[in-house]
Amino acid sequence: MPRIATDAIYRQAVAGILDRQSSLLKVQQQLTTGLKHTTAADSPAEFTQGLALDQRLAELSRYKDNASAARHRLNVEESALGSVTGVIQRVRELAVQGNTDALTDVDRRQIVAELRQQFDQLVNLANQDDGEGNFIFAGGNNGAAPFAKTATGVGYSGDQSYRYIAIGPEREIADGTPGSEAFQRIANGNGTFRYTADPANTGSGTLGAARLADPSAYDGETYTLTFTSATTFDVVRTTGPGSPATVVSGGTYTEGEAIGFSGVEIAVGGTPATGDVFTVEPSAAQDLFSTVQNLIDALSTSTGTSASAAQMHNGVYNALEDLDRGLDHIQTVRATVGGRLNALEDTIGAQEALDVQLQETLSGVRDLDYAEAVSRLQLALTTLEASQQSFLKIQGLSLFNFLR
Amino acid sequence: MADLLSTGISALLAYQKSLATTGHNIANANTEGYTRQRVEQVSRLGTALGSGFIGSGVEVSTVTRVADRFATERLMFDASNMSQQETLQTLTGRVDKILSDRNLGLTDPLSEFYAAVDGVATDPTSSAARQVLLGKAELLAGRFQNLQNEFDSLNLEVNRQLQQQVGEINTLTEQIADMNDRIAIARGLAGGQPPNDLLDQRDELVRELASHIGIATVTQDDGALNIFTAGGNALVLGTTVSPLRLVQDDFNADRYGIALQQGNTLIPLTRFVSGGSLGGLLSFRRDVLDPAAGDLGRVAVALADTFNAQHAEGVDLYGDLGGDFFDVPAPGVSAATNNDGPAVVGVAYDDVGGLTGETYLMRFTGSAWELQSAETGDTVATFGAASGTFTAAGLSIAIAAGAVAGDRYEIRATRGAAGSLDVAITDAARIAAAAPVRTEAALANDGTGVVGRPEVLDVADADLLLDATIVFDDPPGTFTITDSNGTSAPIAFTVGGNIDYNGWRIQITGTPAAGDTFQVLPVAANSGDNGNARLLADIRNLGVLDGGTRSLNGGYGALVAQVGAQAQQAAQRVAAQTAIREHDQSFRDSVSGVNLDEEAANMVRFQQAYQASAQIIALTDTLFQTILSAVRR
Repeated sequence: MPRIATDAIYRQAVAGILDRQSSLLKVQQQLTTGLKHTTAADSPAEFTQGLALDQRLAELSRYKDNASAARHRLNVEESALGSVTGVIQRVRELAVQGNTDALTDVDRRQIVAELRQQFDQLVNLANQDDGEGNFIFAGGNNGAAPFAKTATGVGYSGDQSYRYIAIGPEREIADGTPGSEAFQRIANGNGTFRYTADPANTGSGTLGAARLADPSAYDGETYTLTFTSATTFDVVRTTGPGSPATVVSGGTYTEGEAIGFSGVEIAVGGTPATGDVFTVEPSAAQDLFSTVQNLIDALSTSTGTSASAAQMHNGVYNALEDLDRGLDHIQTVRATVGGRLNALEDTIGAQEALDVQLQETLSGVRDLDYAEAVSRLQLALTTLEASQQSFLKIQGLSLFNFLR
Repeated sequence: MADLLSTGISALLAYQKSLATTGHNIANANTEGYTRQRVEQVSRLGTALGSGFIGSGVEVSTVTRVADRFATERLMFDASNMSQQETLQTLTGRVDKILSDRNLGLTDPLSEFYAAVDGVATDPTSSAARQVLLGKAELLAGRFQNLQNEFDSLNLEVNRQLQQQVGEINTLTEQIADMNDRIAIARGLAGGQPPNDLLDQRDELVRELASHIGIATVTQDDGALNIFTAGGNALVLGTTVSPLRLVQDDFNADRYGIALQQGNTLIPLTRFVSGGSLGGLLSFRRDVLDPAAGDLGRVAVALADTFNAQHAEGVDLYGDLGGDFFDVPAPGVSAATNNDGPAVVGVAYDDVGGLTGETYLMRFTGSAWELQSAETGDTVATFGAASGTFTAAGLSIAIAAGAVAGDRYEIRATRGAAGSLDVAITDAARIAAAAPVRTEAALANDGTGVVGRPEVLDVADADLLLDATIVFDDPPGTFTITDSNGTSAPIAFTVGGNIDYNGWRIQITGTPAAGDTFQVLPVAANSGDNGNARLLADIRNLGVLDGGTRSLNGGYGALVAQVGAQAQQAAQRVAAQTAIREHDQSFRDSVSGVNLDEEAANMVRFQQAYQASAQIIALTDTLFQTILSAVRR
């Protein structure tokens, strides 16, 4: 048995009590803050994991904000495109309505008046902003209204850039469509070629059914059909290598009968005159505003003679074709926007799930397990009391008490 | 008869001394460092008679300290280790607290900064979003500066404490030398007997000294204690003291070192001192504070440099290419105060990915320069010429001619850099959110060619912002690019292949037709484009540190973890050291400590022996009376 110095008994008892008190304080601190660790020293790994998770969560919430800005703009675009679809459909109705011979020029003037309103409406829709001064259909130049009426039609002052918004790591979506792509780059005619009548025609020949009979045989060149008499015609290719080249010589005209060449089938109606010209040319980009303007011009034509009536019908024929192309195009753009909105919701949904997961992990590394902490508190209290009581008992013992 | 009386008196005196010593022990039961004393008794030589030796009593040979040299030395070492670890723990704990505090740390300001960049990316023309970004950038820079200020004030604190420690150590060594003198005198006066209480006091002084600085002791034959410190340098030799002196660092006036003054020479000790509060202070500065400041500075430099590089690749609302967003701090370089040559070394950042937070020492050998890590002393790079420029550890070091062999420079790669991080722009419109160039496809194009987003390869290309027009030839297997400098030779077209020109890169997919036209145009002023803002926001996850393997956030996290681990380790060492000291103290107390019960028992024992001795004297009287009465008859 080693001997024990009296001083050591006191020292050790006091050290024990101090030790218990400091662990008690530690638990108490954890319980009041609700945090497992006060500083990184308590657990460097968990503490820095917490910091990294904080950063991930901040990033996720940022993506959520980005997505809501993008969602707002896409919704505005979606609804603008919906209205554009309505305008095109109304314009189409008016075109069909105005295309009958039963109407007088005066009747048509009323139709034209409504068409002009629809035209203005279309320009307004193309100049839609998101409520914060950003024009949806302006590309990167979104500080100013992109479309303006000019003497020659409607001019576009935006650019062709898409703006992408990050909605997730490595995940970006465009928050709009440049006006050039939404309203301008629309192929006219039937998408492959456009069938027109020369406005200078003197007969009452009208455009009949036209179709691409054999897409592989059409070479994308321009062909003219010229009546050499009231019943015969030639077809000449006017562009491409070796042009002009006659492809049909001395064809016989029968009203409404298909005339085929180079994969194309067209028909002519009415009574063409000698020298009348009909043209098949490759489709080109035509903006929606020109399409409506062309319709207005066609319906404004006075229909005094059979030739001018035919010219009106031919104008409406081309406008209807172009309107259908426009409608198709707008629907496609709208579907793209819808697709982006879906992708956005998907991504946000996935991120919300991730957010919950990360919060749980963060809580695991940072938050205190109260049940465990309370039981530790109990243990610390018990051992502290035990230390104090045993100290009181031991310090009362001394041989000097018995030396009287 | 006289013998019996003198035997009784000798016992009486001996037990008086024993009782006095017991009393002394009891009185000093609570005296710090007191060693219990014991009276050593020997029997007196008896008187030789024909019938043998008759004993003649007892005498006190000496009063000894019940001490164990080993236990005393253990306690001395324990005091050294304990104060070192405690000092380290206290100071490291403060760095840890600073970095762990949400209101002081970088995590939140970094997140908010990136969120503000994202805000500009979502709405690049909004002046509110831009203003918020400037505000958050200033907040972030301010947070870096605050942290560096905290580190600076800790450095000042270390200086202050070093000064205090040196003062206390010099007082203690003086006292020990004085004690050596007093002990020698006392021994002389007492005829070579040990002056126990003086020895106790000296041991206590030595222990106190050990808690300030690591020491070793050697006892001389005359009882004087010699004290040696780091490198075997003597602090106390007998009664001679070599005082410690506070000296300025060779490179920085704002940090102190330690030297030992022997006569007129100063022996530098800073790098060698270990143990005690002094060792703890120096170890804190060397192992915790400097690396932490270096790592913090590295994050600041990397942030500024990376952000600026990306910012320069964008266009602001005025249509100009982006300037510096942050002021990039410069590396620190100082010439040693005792260099013979003029200052010839200039340092700049070369590659952020190659930077370490370390401090380097550069030494001129006369024909070459050696770059050494100040921490490990390892040579990092050697430059085999007297002047010129070389790159090492992410730094570009330019040396002018004129250095003299032996000249030294200290290069602080990033330490302290966090203090000078600032936002360089004040006009929010100067934030370069837009990509510098954009693409267009002519509406009249017949083919299906689609041009993608342009990428900037070389922002320094003088022709970057020229209008460039790409026209496809007939047949469209080739194209030419025309800008104000003229038209390029035909370039072969590959679907989706990279077209690199004027410092930009685009791809055209689909099938362009002959005559189809695409354009690469500069982005106009006030553009709503966010091409560059998105790339700026991406920096948050970009690997920029450690050769591109660690993000800025990761770099800061590593710093917090590093300091946290050091603080944790220091706390664990203190706990371990406490246990060791407790053990050693108990061992010492079990040998040298006073046990009051034992003293009480001794007291009873000596008291009884004293009473018995008195009885012997009484007995001699009785014997004498017996003889007297026999004679009187």
